Amino acid sequence: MKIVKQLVIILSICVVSDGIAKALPFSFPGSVVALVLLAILLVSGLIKEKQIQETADFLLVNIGLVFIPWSVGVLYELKVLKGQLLVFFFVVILSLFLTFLSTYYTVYFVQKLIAKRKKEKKHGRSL
Amino acid sequence: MEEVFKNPLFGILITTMGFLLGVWLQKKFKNFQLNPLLNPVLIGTLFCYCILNIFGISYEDYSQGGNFLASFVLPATAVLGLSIYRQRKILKEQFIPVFLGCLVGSLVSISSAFLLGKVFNLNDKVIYSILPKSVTTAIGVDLSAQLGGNRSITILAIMVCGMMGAIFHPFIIKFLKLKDKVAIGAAFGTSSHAVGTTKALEMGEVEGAISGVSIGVAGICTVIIALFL
Repeated sequence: MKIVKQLVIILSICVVSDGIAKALPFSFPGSVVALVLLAILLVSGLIKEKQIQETADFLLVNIGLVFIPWSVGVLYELKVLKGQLLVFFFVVILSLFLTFLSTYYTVYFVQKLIAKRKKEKKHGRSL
Repeated sequence: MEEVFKNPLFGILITTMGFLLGVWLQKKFKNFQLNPLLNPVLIGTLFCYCILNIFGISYEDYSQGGNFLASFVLPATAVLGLSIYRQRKILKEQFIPVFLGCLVGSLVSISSAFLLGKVFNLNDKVIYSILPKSVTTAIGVDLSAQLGGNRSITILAIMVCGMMGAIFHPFIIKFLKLKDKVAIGAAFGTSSHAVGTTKALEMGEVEGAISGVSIGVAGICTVIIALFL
């Protein structure tokens, strides 16, 4: 019964979010609306973590399972990439590394900047 | 026999079996360098594809059950909201650097895919399909449709980013002597979503937690950037 209750809560959030996403004047993914809505409900305390815990954890751990059917479909449509497959891999992988490094160095330098400011503030006060 | 294959339970069964096989292989070869290639999604996909071809079952028949499982993509993505909530403490402390990192990373991901695609003459449909390549699958697929891309190419690009990231990011980290745990986590989550997060978790608790949060944050950033495209 517990799992059913949890499923009802999670599915309700999804259906409502899908509705909100479709009602928006611009296109916006329902999945992101659902993710944000759930986080807001949890932070505001309207939903308690234990009210969705087991079912949510099951979905989090096994998220890969629900992607397999789409992924099987990909193999049937690989011909759309005919003649471009190698370049496709090259572009995707190069862009992937650029993404990784730009994220790393942004976080790294912003942290340094914040730490420096804090230090200066402290220093300023002690003077 | 054909009646059996048309039963939705058949598609669900072989998908679950393939996934289980992948999980088992990944555990069994834990210390294998190319372990991320034993990703349960990839193994599960190949398993299903083999079964369909061996028994001459059509993709349409498989889809009876496949579509049922695929409809759970939305709830499985929504619960990422819970993983963000669980990490609210560390996220609060590191919010500005992590948010800016995800934002810049998402911008670089989209713009570099676009520019490289143009430079190397990929056709426009393929370019639009690879723009959301670094986000989690559900969000990427929605964005791909929005931008006029092809769903299958997007999924392939997302899988490549996950697996190649899990394999090669550790080498980049070693080679460039990257040490900052929060930054490593954000970089994994932003560039290689859930598959990268599995690797980040192996590197440490902070890396894993930040990586998990970054999947959601980078997804939101990418969606917002896409509004302006």
